[in-house]
Amino acid sequence: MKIGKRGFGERHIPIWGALFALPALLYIVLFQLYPILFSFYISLHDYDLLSDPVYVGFKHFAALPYDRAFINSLWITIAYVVYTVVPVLGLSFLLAWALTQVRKSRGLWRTLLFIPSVMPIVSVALVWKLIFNFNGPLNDAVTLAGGQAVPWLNNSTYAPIAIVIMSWWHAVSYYMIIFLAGFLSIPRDYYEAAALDGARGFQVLRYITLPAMKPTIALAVVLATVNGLKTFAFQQIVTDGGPANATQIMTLLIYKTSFSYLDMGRASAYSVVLFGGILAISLLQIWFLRDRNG
Amino acid sequence: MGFTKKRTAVAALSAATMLASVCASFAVELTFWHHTYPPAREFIEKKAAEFTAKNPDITIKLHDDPHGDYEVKLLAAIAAGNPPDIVNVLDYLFPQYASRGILAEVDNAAFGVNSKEELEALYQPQALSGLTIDGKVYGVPEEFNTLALFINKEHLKEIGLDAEDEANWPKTWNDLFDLAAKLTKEDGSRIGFNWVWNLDPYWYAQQYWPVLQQYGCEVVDSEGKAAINSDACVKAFSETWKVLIDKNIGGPNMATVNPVNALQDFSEGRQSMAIAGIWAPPLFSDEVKEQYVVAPLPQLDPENPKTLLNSYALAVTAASENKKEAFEFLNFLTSDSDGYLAATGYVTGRKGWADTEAAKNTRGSDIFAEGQKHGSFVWRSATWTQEGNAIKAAIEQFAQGVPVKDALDQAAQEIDSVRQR
Amino acid sequence: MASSSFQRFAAFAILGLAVLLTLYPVAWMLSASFKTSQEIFTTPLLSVGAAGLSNYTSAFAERPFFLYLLNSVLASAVSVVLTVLLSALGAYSFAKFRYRLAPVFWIVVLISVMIPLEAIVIPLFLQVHAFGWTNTYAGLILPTAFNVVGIFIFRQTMISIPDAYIEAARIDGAGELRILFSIIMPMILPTIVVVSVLTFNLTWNSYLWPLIVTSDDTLRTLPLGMAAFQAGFNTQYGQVMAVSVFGALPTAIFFLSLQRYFVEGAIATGVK
Repeated sequence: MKIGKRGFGERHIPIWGALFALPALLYIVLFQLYPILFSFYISLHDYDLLSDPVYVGFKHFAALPYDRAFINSLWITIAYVVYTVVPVLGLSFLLAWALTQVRKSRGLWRTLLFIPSVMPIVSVALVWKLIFNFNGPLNDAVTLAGGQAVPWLNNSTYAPIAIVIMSWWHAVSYYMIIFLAGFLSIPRDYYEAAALDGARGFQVLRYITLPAMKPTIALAVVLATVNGLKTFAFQQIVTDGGPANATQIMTLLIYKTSFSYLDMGRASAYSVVLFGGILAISLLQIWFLRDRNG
Repeated sequence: MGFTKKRTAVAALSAATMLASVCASFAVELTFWHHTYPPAREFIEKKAAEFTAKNPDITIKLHDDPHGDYEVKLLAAIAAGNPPDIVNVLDYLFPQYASRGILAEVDNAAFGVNSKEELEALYQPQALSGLTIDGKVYGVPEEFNTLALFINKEHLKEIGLDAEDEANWPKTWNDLFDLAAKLTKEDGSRIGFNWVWNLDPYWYAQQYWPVLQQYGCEVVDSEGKAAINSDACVKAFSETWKVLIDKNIGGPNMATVNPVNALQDFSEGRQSMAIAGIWAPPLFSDEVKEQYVVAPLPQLDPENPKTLLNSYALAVTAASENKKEAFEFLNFLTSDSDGYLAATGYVTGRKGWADTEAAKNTRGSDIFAEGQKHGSFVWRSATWTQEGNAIKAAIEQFAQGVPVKDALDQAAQEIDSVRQR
Repeated sequence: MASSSFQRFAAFAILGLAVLLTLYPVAWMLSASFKTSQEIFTTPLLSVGAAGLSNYTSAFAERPFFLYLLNSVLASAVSVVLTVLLSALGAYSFAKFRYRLAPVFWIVVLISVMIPLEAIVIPLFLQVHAFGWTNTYAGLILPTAFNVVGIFIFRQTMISIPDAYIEAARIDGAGELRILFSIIMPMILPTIVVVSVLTFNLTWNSYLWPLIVTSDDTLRTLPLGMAAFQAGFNTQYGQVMAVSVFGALPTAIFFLSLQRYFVEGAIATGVK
C-alpha cells in the first residue's frame, strides 16, 4: 500500500504528519496492540487466569491438529463465512442496483431497507430466536405452504442455516449502502457511451458496471469476510454454539475456552490462529487494492 | 511546583493516607456479587440493612449480573486480583475454584461453632458435602435444592385423573411416559412431559444426574476414566431421554426455546408435567400457579429412590481482607431460613427449614424435604464444564437420531482427552 | 442510466420483496411487545395484543432503563467524538504526508482493525485494572471507544481532496491543525456523518466489555440492562421485545435523522 503517495513529500515538514498519527497510534498500542501481544505471550503458556502462567513452548499449537473442538470450529467458521459473504454480497449488490433504477422515493426505500443495520444486535438475535422456534411464525408459514415444520434451532443441519439466514437479514443493508455508493460514483458518461455503442442490459453490467465496481466489490468482500470471522453475538445468544456444537464458531470457542474452561493458553492459541486468518485475508485486500487508491 | 508547596502536598497526602488507614480499621465495606434474581436482591438488601444496624461499621454493597455472564465477570475480577468479598457460586464450580485457591475455608467461629462437624450439624445431612473439597468446607448453601415432579392438576382432570391423589402420581419413569402419552395432544397444543432443552450443561446435568444414579451409571469411574459410555449409562439414556423422543411425546422440537424461562411450556400451561425445584412456582403464569401439584421425582426403583442435590452457594474469596466480617454476615443472612424461603423461595438447607412457617405455606415442601434425604450432588471435577458440555453434546446428538451408544462414546472420548491435559 | 421498463419493473419487484422480508421481523417484534406470552405464538402478526403497554411499564418499573439509556448515549457520544478526532488526525497524516515511519504506522492500524475483542478481553481488562479504571466511566468507555475503521474512511476521503487547497492555506500561513479543522473537516461533513453513525452503532451494541468492567448498577449500559432484565424474575417474552424496541429507537432515530448525509458520505468516501 502506498502511504502518502499523494502527499507533499519532501516539500513539507513530515514531522507534522508523524505527530498527527501519534494520538491514534498511542491509543492502538495501549488498548489493542499490547493486549494482542499479551495473547501471543499467553499462547506459549499454561494459564488458568488465577495462578501464574507456566511456560510450555508451542504445546498448545502442536495440539491443535488433534483438538476436535478446534477443528470443528474451524470448519464451522469457514462455512459460516462462505455462506454469509457470497449471498450477502450478491443480495446487497442486487438491492443497490435496484435502488439505482428507481427515481421516485429512493430515500424511502433505502431507509426501510437500512433498518436491520440500526437494530441492536441483541434485539435482532432475540427476535429471530422466536421466529425460528418450532412453533414460531416461520414454521407457521412453512406448514401453511404445505411443508413440514423444520426444527430450525434443534438440529445440527438446520441451526447453522438459521444463523446464516439471520446474518443475511442483518448484514445485507450495510453492504447495500456501500454498493450503492459505488454505483452512484460511476460517471454517467460511461453509460451514455455504452448506450451509443448499442450495449444493452447484461452487456452494460458485464462491460461497464462490473469493471468500474471492482474495487468496491473487493473492499466489500474483505469487510464482509473480516466481519464474518469476528462474528460472535448471534451464535452466542441464539444457539450458544449448539446443538451438539454445530454452531460453535471460533470466537465463541475462544470465549468458552477462556471463561468456562479457564484454559487461557489454549484459547490464546486459538486467537492467534484466528488473528492469523484475518491478517492473511486483509493482506489480500491490500494486494487487491494496491493500485487503486485515489 | 515550589519546594514548600511540594512539602505541604506530601504532608497532606500522608495525613490522608493515615486517616484512610485508621478509618479502614473501623469501617468495612463488604462487596457481594450475586446472580440476578430480584427477590433475592431485595431480601439480601433488607438483611444487610439489619446487619449494619447491629454492626454500624460494616456495610454491604450488593451487585448482580445474569447467571452465565456473572461467572465470566467474576473470573475477570479474580484474575485481576480484585474479587468481591462474598460471591455466589454454583456447587459444581467448587472443585474448579477451590483447586485454584479462590475461595476461603469457612470460618467456624463466625457460625458460632468450633469444628467442621459442628458446622455440618447446623445443616441437613449432605448439605455441605457438595461444597467440601478435600475435607475442607468452602461455602454454605443459599439454596439447597432437590428436584421433584410438577403436575398440572387441570390437565390430569381432563383425562379423568385426580392429581391430588397420590395413587395417580407416576412412580417410575415408565409410569411417567405412559401418563405423558395420554396427556399429549396430537395437534401439538399440549405436551405431556418434556425434559429441558437448549440450555447450559448444568441444566441438563440436573435432569439426567438422578436418572444416571438410579441406573448405576457413573460419569467418571473410580480410576478417573470416563464411564459415560458404559452399558448402564447407555441404558439410562435410552430408557428415559431417548424413549421420550422415539415415542414422540417430547423432545427438543416440541420445547419452546426461551432464554428467559427454562420451564416456559409448563409455566404457560402447554405442558402437563415437568421436573423442577422449589424455586419454580414464581415462574409460573397465574393460572398454572393455581393448579400445580408437587409429586416425588419418578424412579427406576421406587423402593430405593435417588434424587439430585444442588446448591447455589455463598462463599468468601481467599483474597478478601474482611473474611471474618464476611462470614459473620453469611451466618446472619442464611440463618433466617423462614425469611429466605418466604421472600425468595430459596431453601437454606439449615436443619429445621421444613418446619418453618414459610415451609408450611409452600406447596410440596414435604416432598422436597423428603427428596433431599435421597439426593447426591453431580460428580465433582475441576474440569466439570468441559465434561458437562461433552455430555450435553451427546444428548443433543442422540436427540437428532445418532445412536445413543455412539454419541456417548464420543462424549467419553472427549472427557478422557480433557482429563489427560 | 437509461433503463428499460422491464428493468424498472424488476427493480420494483426486488425492492418490494426485500422490504417485506426486512420489515417482517421488525413488525413481529413490535407486535410481540404488546402481547402476553401466551399470545405470542398463537395470535397472528397483526392482531392487537392483550398486554397493551404493560410490557413496557413493567420493564420500566423494574429497571432504571432511562439511566441505562443515558449511559449508553454517553458512551456512544464519547466514542463518536474520540473516533472522529483521532481518525481525522491520523487520516490526515496518512493521506497528506510522507514520512519514513508511515508504513510501519499503517501496519499497526491495519492490525488493530482485525483484532476480535473476545481474543483480547482478558489482557485488556488486566491493563485497565492496572489503571484503576474498573467500575468507572473511564474504564467503561475509553478502552473500546476508538473505532479504528474511522481512519480508513477519513483517509479515503482526504486523499480525494486536491492538494491545492491545502497548499493555498499554507501559503496564507495557516497552521496544520487549522488546515485540518477549519478547511478540510468542513469539506467532508458527510464522511464525518458516516464515521459517526458506524461508531455510534458499534458502541451501542457493546456488551462483553461493559459487562466485565462495571459492577455498579448506575454504570450499566442499555444492553447490560436488557440482559439483566431478561434474567430477572418471571420475565415475559413480550417484555423482552418491549425492551428491544426501546433499545432500537435511539440508533434508529440517530440514523434516520442523518441518513441523507449518510449515503452522500458513503459516496464521498469513495468506497469505490
